[in-house]
Amino acid sequence: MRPMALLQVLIAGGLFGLGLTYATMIQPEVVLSFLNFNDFGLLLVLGCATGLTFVVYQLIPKIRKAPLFAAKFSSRPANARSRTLLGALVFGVGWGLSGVCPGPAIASVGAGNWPVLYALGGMFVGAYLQGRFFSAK
Amino acid sequence: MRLSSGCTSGHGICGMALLDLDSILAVLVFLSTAIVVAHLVTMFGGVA
Repeated sequence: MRPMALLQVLIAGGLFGLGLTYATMIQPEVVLSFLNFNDFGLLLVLGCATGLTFVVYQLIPKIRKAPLFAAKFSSRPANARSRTLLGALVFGVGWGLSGVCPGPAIASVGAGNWPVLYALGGMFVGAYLQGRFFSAK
Repeated sequence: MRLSSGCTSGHGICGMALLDLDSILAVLVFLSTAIVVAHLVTMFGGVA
């Protein structure tokens, strides 16, 4: 990775972690409280994040011809819908049990929340098992 | 090939902001599943 691109990734990741931490989403208790309908604050977090990203996605390609560190704008590769939804179902079970999802989990380690390492370890094991045994070629 | 290919951030923020139908469906599925599971855990005396 080129140095400027690396710097961009570091800044973007840092901002994301800062935002997740400030929005309290890195605390599994807050997530579980949301999923139990006790505290709807995270709905505001998701709404604002998605809304702002939507505006940026609409505006930036009109202003700039290409991203700062890539040749052109492109969308992500698509996956079969059935696989996406099956994965979403499995992920939802884990999220509902633990209150931990990938981005906030990594940021949570930075905040010194060590127990979340168990959940991160579980993610590595789950992803490995999926790739090893359930990955259609 | 992987399964969900996205999480709360990937589908929830980026995918939905692209108005990607698969992402919107994925968010509906994992959010409703997580809500049901979290409520079940609480119902059966979990820590939540």
